[in-house]
Amino acid sequence: MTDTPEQPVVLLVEDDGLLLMEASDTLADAGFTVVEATHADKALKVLENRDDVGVLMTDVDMPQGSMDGFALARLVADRWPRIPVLVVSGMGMPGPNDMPDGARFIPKPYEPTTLVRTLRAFVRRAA
Amino acid sequence: MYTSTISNSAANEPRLTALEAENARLRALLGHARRQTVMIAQRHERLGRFFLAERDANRAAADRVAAENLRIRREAERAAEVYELDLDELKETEARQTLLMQELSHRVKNTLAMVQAIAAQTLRNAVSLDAAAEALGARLAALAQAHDVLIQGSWSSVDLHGLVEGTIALHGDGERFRVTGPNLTLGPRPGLTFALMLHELGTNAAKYGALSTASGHVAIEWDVEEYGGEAQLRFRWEERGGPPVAPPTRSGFGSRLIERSLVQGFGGSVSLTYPETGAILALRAPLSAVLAGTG
Repeated sequence: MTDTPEQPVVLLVEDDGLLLMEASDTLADAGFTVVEATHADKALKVLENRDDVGVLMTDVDMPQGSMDGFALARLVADRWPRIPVLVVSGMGMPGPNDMPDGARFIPKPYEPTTLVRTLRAFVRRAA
Repeated sequence: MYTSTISNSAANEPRLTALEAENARLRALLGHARRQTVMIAQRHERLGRFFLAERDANRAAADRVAAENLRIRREAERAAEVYELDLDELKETEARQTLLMQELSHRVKNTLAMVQAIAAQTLRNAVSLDAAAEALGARLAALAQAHDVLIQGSWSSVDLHGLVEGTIALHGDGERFRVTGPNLTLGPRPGLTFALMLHELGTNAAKYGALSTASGHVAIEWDVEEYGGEAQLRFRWEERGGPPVAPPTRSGFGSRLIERSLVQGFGGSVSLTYPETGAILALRAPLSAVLAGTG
């Protein structure tokens, strides 16, 4: 990718319906194209089927899938190293081995402007 | 007795007297010596007995002290063991408490994230600040009430009957509702989402639907069914006897929550329709997605 797309694609992974809806609306209002997934396995399917995902934003606690958000982040960083990763959680700060290199962590609840700013910076850097 | 053949007794008499006197003296001495010996022997014996008694008394005292020492030492060892156990238990309790506090912090942050989402969604769809304030207040009250039900389930499960009864209490009198369904406990997250959904349905029913007229009522029923090879929760909210309704022109928080989040979040299917008889919500969700112990 040589220039920043007009509407970068965010893969948003969150299992709580209400929080997914609100995060999705926030990102859409900020000009992102949002693709939603309710757990890690669905997220991986999306990544396998499209190549335009600009950034991954994932929750940690997603028991319906086969792995939590940290494991998903590490896997994505490994298989799709061009896709920056943002992890959000109410569970406190990540442990020393949770996050892949280059990924960022935002604690929940987060300020929407902080989220948008972080994502925009991510997308610009990757471009 | 001997026969004395003393020829000249007169010449021997002074010597005999002297000898007899000496004999008597010697006998007296001997007797005295014997008596002394006896006395000494008796004294020795008394002393001996005394020493023996003292030795036995000392031994007994020593044994008592030794036994007491042993008792004290054993008691001290037991006390040390109990102390070690208490200390271990204290450490364990402390570790458990730390874990509980971390878990509590996590849940509080999740709840705050929900409140933030509800507030943001309410403001997005608000027609006026007053309407937004009222809607927000009502939604947060519903959320708080759902937490009461959640706490009754030790913050790990939400009783569906409890949730429904809470909604009924907020939106009207129980006579307007018909509730049927088996006992079911939802997980905390699906439970809270359900509570918000019921609140929206109740609010709309009271504003435009069956609860806005005297004759209308709401039938709530749910069951567990086998569907497509897995256990599913089937849930239905059906309004009857109210004024004729039309689908809302704008998707409100309630219908968006229901249609978007529930379907996606639960991996089931949902339909929210507005036939003339009254609003109907029909929902299906895999039981594994909503049951307590899974989310």
